[in-house]
Amino acid sequence: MGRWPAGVYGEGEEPDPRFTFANERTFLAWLRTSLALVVAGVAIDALADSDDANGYRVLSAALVVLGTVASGAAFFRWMANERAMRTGRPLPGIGLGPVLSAGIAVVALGLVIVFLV
Amino acid sequence: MARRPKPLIHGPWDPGLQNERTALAWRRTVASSYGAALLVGRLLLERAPVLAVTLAAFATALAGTLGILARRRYRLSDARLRQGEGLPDAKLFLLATALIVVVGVTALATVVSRT
Repeated sequence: MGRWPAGVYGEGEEPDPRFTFANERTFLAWLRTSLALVVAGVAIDALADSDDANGYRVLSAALVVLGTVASGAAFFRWMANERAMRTGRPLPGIGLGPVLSAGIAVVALGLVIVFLV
Repeated sequence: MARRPKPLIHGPWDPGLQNERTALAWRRTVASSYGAALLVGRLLLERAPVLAVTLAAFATALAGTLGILARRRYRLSDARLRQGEGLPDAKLFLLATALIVVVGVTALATVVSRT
């Protein structure tokens, strides 16, 4: 069919379009989540007190990296989902969600510590 | 997948309005991307004014482009659905991801390079 990427569209058959649309919306939701993380990281860094700057800076960087990585992961995730739907296989496992949750929890704890210390 | 009978010409292809919901999701995402890029630019304005303005200009151009392409995608999907053809490819996804990666890398560079 010649659609890009061939790694997704080369195999299998067209799934029900509603599933494809749902996959697309999930991908877009991940992108918005990534954005929220990046913005949170920048906000922390921009608004931090200068005497605690180093502590906040690490946490900011962590959030920004998490967000950026999540956006790339979202795209790979979309491809894996679409491929699975086309070939009638189960959807791939749980993905980056728990990693992101853990990362956010760690950063939140870090913020409390830096703020109180 | 059961093919539906020929749909009404003026109605949505699908009573669940999946294509319309997806088009709205694109608009939310493009709007959020643009807002986030401007926010990052605003927060960095004092520290790195040239970068902030460049990011704002770049984000404006890219958000505008993405908005137009997403609308075109909606129309193309609608036409393809009615003809029983496959939906569009993933190039637009790559562009959207690239925009966010650019925002993220710019943000990281400014966080790390803060004096």
